[in-house]
Amino acid sequence: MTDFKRLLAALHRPRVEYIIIGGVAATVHGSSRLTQDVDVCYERTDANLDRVVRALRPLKPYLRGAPRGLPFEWSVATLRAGLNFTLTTTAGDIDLRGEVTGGGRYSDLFDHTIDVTLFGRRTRVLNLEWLIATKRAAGRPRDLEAIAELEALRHETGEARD
Amino acid sequence: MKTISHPVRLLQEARVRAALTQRALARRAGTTQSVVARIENGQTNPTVDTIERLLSAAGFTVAMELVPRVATDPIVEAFKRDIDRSLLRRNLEKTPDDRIESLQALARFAEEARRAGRAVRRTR
Repeated sequence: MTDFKRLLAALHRPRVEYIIIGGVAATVHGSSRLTQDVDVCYERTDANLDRVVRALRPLKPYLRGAPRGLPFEWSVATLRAGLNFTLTTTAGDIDLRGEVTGGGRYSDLFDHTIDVTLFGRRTRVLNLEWLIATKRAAGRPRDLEAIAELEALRHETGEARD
Repeated sequence: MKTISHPVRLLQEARVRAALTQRALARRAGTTQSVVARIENGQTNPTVDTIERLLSAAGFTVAMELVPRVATDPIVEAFKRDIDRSLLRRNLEKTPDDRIESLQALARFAEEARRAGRAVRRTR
């Protein structure tokens, strides 16, 4: 089971630059749906790659679904060589996305975030409009019900477009 | 963020926020009241230059961004009819921290239900 608070605290500690997207972002916006992992878009600068590595190292990250024993090294070099990582850790599952379908990279998403205080720390969360747009762009049938709920939330919060 | 998608409404919003009458705005922009009125009434289709000039006269500038077009999806609309909005309203009354705590509690419950299901299957 994913320990959301612990994973977010791990990212906060070395001040990783990231944006919460996906199901946890939906929860922050008021969704009542259960999500299994923390989904974030992270900045790909060298300094931030180093922060990501330091943040998650104590949680022993490993490739989710991969057989144990693969030569997987949790390092800046590994992050630099890849882009999106679906990981499992001792605090649960986390998806690290260097790029988000329909949304782009961290710098593209940055202006479409809200600043939320989560467990005492300022945290960037993708705004409702862009959360819906990225879920639509992903085109996954399982997201359709989530999109319906997010659009209902947009209506409830008065963020519906004119 | 509240977005006004049509230039006509954008102009009207800018003029009202600047507390200007159509005539006052027109004077500032070097045009006539009837031009402003025709635009606001949707009787004419202004160019981007005209809209920019009028918005500037009201003390605003215009920033454009690309926003993915949101098409109505019949499946999403069907799901929407079944959404329990009272649940959403209750969530919206909570703080973001409390929303995450509720998610954690739900995850704990789901985990426990899965564990119980596995235990029952083992005893069969």
